[in-house]
Parts: sequence; structure tokens; C-alpha cells
Amino acid sequence: MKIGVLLKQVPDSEARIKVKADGSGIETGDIKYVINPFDEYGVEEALKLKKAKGGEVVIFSFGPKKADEAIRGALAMGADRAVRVDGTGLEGSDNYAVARVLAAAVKAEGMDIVFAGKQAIDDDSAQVPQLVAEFLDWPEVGPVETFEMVDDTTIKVERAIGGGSKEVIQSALPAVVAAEKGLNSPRYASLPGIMKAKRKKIDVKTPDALGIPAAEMGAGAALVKVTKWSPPPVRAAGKVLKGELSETIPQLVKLLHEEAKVI
Amino acid sequence: MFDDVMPGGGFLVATVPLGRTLTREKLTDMQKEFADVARKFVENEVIPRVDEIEVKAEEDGMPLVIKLTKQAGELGLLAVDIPEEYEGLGQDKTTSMAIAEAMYGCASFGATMGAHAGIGALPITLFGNEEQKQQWLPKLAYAELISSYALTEPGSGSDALSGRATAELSEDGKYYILNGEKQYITNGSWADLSIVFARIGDKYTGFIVDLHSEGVSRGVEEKKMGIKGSSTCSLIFENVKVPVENMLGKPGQAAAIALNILNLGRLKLGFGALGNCKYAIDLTLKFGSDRKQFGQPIITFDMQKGKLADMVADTYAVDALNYRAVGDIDKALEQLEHDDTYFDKMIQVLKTYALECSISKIAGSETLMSVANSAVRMHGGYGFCEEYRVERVARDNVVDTIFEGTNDINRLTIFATLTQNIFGAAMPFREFMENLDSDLRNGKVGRIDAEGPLGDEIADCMAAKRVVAYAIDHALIHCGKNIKNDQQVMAAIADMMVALYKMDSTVARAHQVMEDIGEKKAATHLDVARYICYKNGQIICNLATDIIHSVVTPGQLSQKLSNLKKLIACLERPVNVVELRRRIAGAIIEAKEYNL
Ligand SMILES: Cc1cc2nc3c(=O)[nH]c(=O)nc-3n(C[C@H](O)[C@H](O)[C@H](O)COP(=O)(O)OP(=O)(O)OC[C@H]3O[C@@H](n4cnc5c(N)ncnc54)[C@H](O)[C@@H]3O)c2cc1C
Repeated sequence: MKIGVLLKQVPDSEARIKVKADGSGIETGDIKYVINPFDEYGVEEALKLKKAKGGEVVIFSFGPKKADEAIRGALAMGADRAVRVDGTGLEGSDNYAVARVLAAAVKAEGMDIVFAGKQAIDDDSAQVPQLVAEFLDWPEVGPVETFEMVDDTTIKVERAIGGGSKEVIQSALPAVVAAEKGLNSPRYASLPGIMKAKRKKIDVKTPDALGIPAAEMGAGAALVKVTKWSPPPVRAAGKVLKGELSETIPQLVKLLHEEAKVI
Repeated sequence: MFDDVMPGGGFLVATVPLGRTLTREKLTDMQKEFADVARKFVENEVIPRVDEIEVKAEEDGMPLVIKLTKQAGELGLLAVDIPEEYEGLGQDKTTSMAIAEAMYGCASFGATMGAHAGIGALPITLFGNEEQKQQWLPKLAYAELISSYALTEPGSGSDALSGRATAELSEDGKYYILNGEKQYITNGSWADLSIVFARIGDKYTGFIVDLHSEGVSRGVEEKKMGIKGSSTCSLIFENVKVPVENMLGKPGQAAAIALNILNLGRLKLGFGALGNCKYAIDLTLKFGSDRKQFGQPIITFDMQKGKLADMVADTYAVDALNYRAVGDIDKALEQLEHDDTYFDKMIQVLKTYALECSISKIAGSETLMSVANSAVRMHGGYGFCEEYRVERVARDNVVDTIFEGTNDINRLTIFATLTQNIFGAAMPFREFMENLDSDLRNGKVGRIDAEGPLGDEIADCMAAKRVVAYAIDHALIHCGKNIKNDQQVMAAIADMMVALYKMDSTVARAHQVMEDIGEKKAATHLDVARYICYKNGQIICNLATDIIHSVVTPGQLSQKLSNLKKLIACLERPVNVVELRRRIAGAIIEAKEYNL
């Protein structure tokens, strides 16, 4: 089976994020980067599937050279090889463009199934798996909490639909499967795995090579533009009302009405 | 001045090794990734289960700590030191030390793993023959079998080679019959094999012993002050048949095996302590920032900042000297040709670094002791309660000063190695002293000129070397052969060497960081280097003064003291230590973690 995984490198959730003074992005200097945690579930599920069915696991990533660190992490977990889409003028590409090149890359490699995380924890847009499926004209299921193969061309998954209920979905392959937290417990990269990963191949492909003109990528061509980044507002200090209840209760009501405007 | 730093204390008479030491900043990506795996594993799998580990809980039919050790084994964390020919990863010592450092937070687990992969497996790697390596190492690399190391006996502790266990050749010549009792054996309860030392006649010899053999029994678990989740018990051997092919090395080679294994073990202990220093600092920072008294976080009180700065600076010094030592060892090992005698040559290299390994052990364990002590006190009553982890760190650390040779024994090792190298002219000590004496005679004693933001600290190091050398020279001259009875003097000399290695290595590392990221970004590194120089300079001056007072005959005392004062005067310069400590602490509080 040819098993693909979409993977993005994101800042560690514990990194202290600082927004650039001009609001054009975040300061990237000293931050530690990791594999998007939801994608890690995707990698694990892909590796489990490979163990059951044989074949190969290919990582697909859109990103700069630095993203190789995260890709190597997945290779160290056991993935076989990777394709990274990169080139000049790609900064500011929106989800639509990213999904389009990733779909083209997946198509070029001829995958039977593609796993992804349900969202990336940096921009949280949660669109790429669906868009990739759309470009490939495949079904998409997610966020999935369980995964099993019914037969060689059918999968069965569960997703939460609120109120503790689960939806059980069966789908034909090929399909895109977006992983929810808890789908599995991702293995650690082992030390021999890390050593082997150094010798595994990461193919770098440009959008052009995948048949997508560079002009249709990047900030200029983006349908959705990020206009500004700002840090969450600093929470103002609370107020303590002092005195007898007979005085403080009317004060509180007044504040709720006039300042907080909630009553 | 000599730029070549000879192993075995050569730093005493050499220039500060600017740009020539390994520092943690220079670790390769792969070394960092390996250490990250170790850290992630301990953080996610071990630390959440510390309370169970400490009461020796069982899981899946085995002790939890062993289950975790086997899991660590599956990840390859125990195979780092084992050569690739025997299914290990064949990595350098730096890699294995960086991993040891990253394993902080649960010393019971650390000791279990260390006894297995360090003293339990290493003797086979270094001294085993081809068949023994093929037979055992692949199984030890991934913790399929758990190993241990049995040297200590009830009557034989520090005097480690005086053991009385016996091994007698059987009549058919196929076995050695082993009898005796070993004590305080880490992993004793659950190990599958052990490196056991016993006497063939008068020849003290190492054996690989299958602990599931008939005649082996295990004593009750010791009730310990710390590392309670590790196993420590005695092993009793009654007519145990050990196949002759399980003899390790040659008859009478126990001393070579035991002492050489200790070198790496001590260094590893120094690295383990380093990790736990950072752990204790981070726990204290978090607690001290959350906990308020008199309306302010307690960590922001000036007195607490002073303590924090000491914790941080002392830890930095251990970091600098640990990586320097292992970097030098790896550099020497890289030169060796991989032929039949590789391991013999490796043993020789390790031997030349015995002094530096002992310093790492002393500096690491004693820094952790003071850091943990401050951490407990800065937690107040909470620090005395088990729920707050510093309590455990403080208890667990005590044994670091006892096993792998007590710190006293390590001080004797430092002294013995140093004097051997001085008398054997392995380092240019005589030339160094001739220069110094001639400067004293000609009234030319002064601070050297050194450039740059760390110029003063470089000059401090060079001045300190002269103070230390002067005191050593007089101790050797005046005590002569009798110095064997002057252990207090030997200990003082060892302590001066520890302090000097801290200064020298700290300045070298901070200098490197400054070169790499610029003076402004390296500000805290530079402050730490200043403070370490000041602090250890003081220690050295006090010890040197003690030594001269104690060893010099009354008739010569005033002249020698006056010389010493001239040398000490070169270390005296204005340093606002209070302000320095505030700045160091301020930077770490701001960073919210030990980030150097
Ligand atoms: C938890 C734990 C785990 C251990 N694990 C192992 C293990 O796996 N394998 C193993 O073989 N051993 C192990 N040991 C034993 C350990 O190595 C010894 O305890 C240690 O070497 C000290 O020996 P001792 O306890 O007999 O103390 P002693 O040698 O009796 O020392 C008592 C005191 O006398 C001092 N002293 C001794 N000789 C001198 C001297 N010449 N000059 C000055 N002072 C001196 C010592 O420094 C110490 O302060 C372990 C011990 C502990 C506590």
C-alpha cells in the first residue's frame, strides 16, 4: 500500500511567541519547532497501517528547508521517504494554494491513502485535508478518533459529533483521513531510527515541477490574506470592592451594567 | 605559557583554552536529537510515574523501573556506548554523556540504567573477548538482559581490591567455583547477570556471572535514604559454577577493569548531576515565581536572587567542565586506529583522563548537593514535603558523593594523578615553576594583559594557576614522601584543582559563546564567568594560604607567605558581586528557566 502523510512544521506549543513590532508575523529567531502534533498521529497511523499491509510511507510537506527537521523526525519514527514542496516566492501562500500543490505532489506519487492532522496548531485553519481531498477528487473523513481497514479498499472510522455521540463512517479508498488527538499514541523516534533517517531521501519539488505555475502561489496570488498579527490583549488587573455588602452590591451591579455591559 | 593542555591536570600550567574546548553549544544535531529523545522519554514515561517507581511497583510481571529500562532499551538509549559490530550504536562518549545529562528527574531510574549500561555492560565492551562480546552485548544493548556490577563486599568498600570472594578451578577444568558475598549491588534483586570480582589464589579477577545459576542468592533490599526505587542488595555465591570462558580479561586483571570502568562512570555521574541541577533550578524558579509572601513572588527577594545566582553559576561551571572533559576524551579517542588493540588503547586514553573524570564527579555531585539544598530552603516548608520534588532530589543526590568511589577517594585520585604527572614530567610543571620563581625573585609578578570583555577573567585564571602551582610545589617540597600522611593537604590540593578547572572551563565556554553570538546576547554568560572567577579565585586563595601555613617550616613561613600574598594580589580586583548575582538571577527569572 502506498501511504501518504501530510506534515507541517510548527512552533512548539510551549514556545514563547512574540509578535513582530509591525504585526507582519511572529519573531521566529529562537523558537523551537516541532512536528505539528496532530500530524504525529497521522504518521503513527500510517506506520501501523504499513506494518499490517506492507508498502511504504511517504511524507508530504510544504515548507522551507528548515521543515526538513520535522520531516526527519517522521522519517526517524519509521516513514520511508519524503517529498517537500519548496521554491522561491512561496511565502504567504494561503491554504488553497498549499493544498493544491500538496494534492499535486500526492498525485505524482500515486498514493492509496493519505493521513493528515485535523489542523495545524500554528494557524489552526483546519482546511488543508479537506482541500487536498477536493483537489484529488477523493473523499475526506475527519477528525477521526479510530481507524480500521474493513477490506483492502474500504476503511471504517469514528468521529465525535458532540454530546458524546460518535459517528461511524465507512469510506472507499483512496481517501484523506484527518487525525484527531487520541487516535493512537505516536511512537518515539528511536536512536537507530534517527540514524537511519539521515540516509533517507527528501525530494524537493517546486510547484512548477508539479504543474502549478509559481505565479499562482505566494502572497500575491492568495485568496485569503493575513492582514495583521497581534498578541492577545494583556488582561487588566481585577477590581476588589471593599466595604459592607449593602454598599458593595449596588456598586457591583452598577459596574456590571455600565463598565462590563453584561446586564 | 603552554597552549597544549595535557590530560591529567595539564590545565594547571597551560593557557586558558579559548576556542579549543567542547561546549554544549557545539553538540551536533544528532547528539541533540538523541538527548531530546531521552528527555522526552523521561518526561512523558518516567516522571509521571515516579511515586510508583519509588515504592518498587510492579507492572506486567516485572518491576516498573525495569519495564521502563527495557522501553528505554528499545529506543536505543542503552546501546549508545556499545560498538556497532555488536548491534550497538557505536557513538562517541559525548553522545552518551549528553544522554546521561538529559535523563534527569528520577534518580532511581538513572541509577538502574546507569548500573546496567555503564558499569554493567562497559566491562564487557572494554575487556571482553570476541566470543563474550558476541554473546552478551547484543542482549545488553536493548536491555533484553539486565546487568549489574559486583565489586563491593562487606569488608571491602573504598579499599575495593581487597575483596575476599574466591574462584577455584573445578577438577574437570570447565568451571570456576565461585564463593563469597558482594554487598550494595545496584540492580541486585533483578539483574540477570553481574560482573563479579573474585580471587583465583591471590589473583583478583573479573567474571561474567549468570545470576540465574544454581547457588546464587540475593539478600534483602537495603532501606535507603534516597534512590529508593532502585534495587540495592547483596549477592551471595555458594559454589556457583562459572564456565571458564566467562572469565573477563586475564587472571589478576581486576584492578585494571575496576579502576578504568570507574573513570567513565564518574564522568557519567557528573553529567547526571548536571541534569539534576538544572531540574532543581527550574522547579525552584517555578515555585518561587508563583509563591508570594509580603505581596511579592519570593524569588524576587534580593536574598533569594543571591542564592539563585549561585545555583545558576555553579551549574554553568559544571556544564562547562563536563563537556570540556568529554570533548577532550573523544578527541583523543578519534586518533585511535580501529584495529585489534583498539579497546586496549581506549583504556589507556581513559586512564590519562582519570583526574578530569574525578573532578567531574566531585564538582557535579557537590554542586548538586548545594543546589538541591538551596532549592529545598527556597521552597520553605513545601520543600520539606514529598509532594514537592526538590525533597527527593536532595535525598537522592547524597549517594552521588558515596558510590563510584567516595568523593574523598576521588580527591586522592586527583592528587595521585597530578603528582604522578608532575614527577613523571608528563606536564611542564617544572618550567612553569621556574618562570614563576624567577618572576618572584625579580619582582615581576603581575596580572597578564588579556584583551576583550573577558580579559580580566582570563587574567584571573592565569593568576589563579600560579597560586595553585605555588601551593602544590611547596606541599610537595616540604612534605616529601611523607605527604601520604597529609591527606588534608592532598584534599586541599584536589579542591584547588577542582576550583581551577571550573574557572578555566567556564571562561573558555563563555568566551566561545561570546564569539558565536556577540557580547550583548552573551551578557549572562559573561556575568557567570565573572562570578565563577571571583568565587573560585577566593576558594583557591584560602586553600593555598592554609597549605602554606601548614607545610612550610616556621623559619621560612614569613617569606613564603609574602610571596604567596604577591601572587594572590594578582587575583584581587574590584568586582561588585552583589550586583553580579542580581543580574544573573534577574536574567534567569526573566527567562523562566535555566536557559544557559
Ligand atoms: C546505593 C548504593 C549503590 C551501590 N551500588 C554498587 C554497585 O552496583 N556495585 C558495587 O560494587 N558497589 C556499589 N556500592 C558500594 C559503593 O561503591 C561503596 O559504598 C563505596 O565505594 C564506599 O565504600 P564503603 O561503603 O565500604 O565505605 P568505606 O570505604 O568504609 O568508607 C567510609 C568513609 O571512610 C572514608 N575512607 C575510606 N578510605 C579512605 C582513605 N584511604 N582515606 C581517607 N578516607 C577514606 C570514605 O571516604 C568514607 O567517608 C553502592 C553503594 C550504595 C550506597
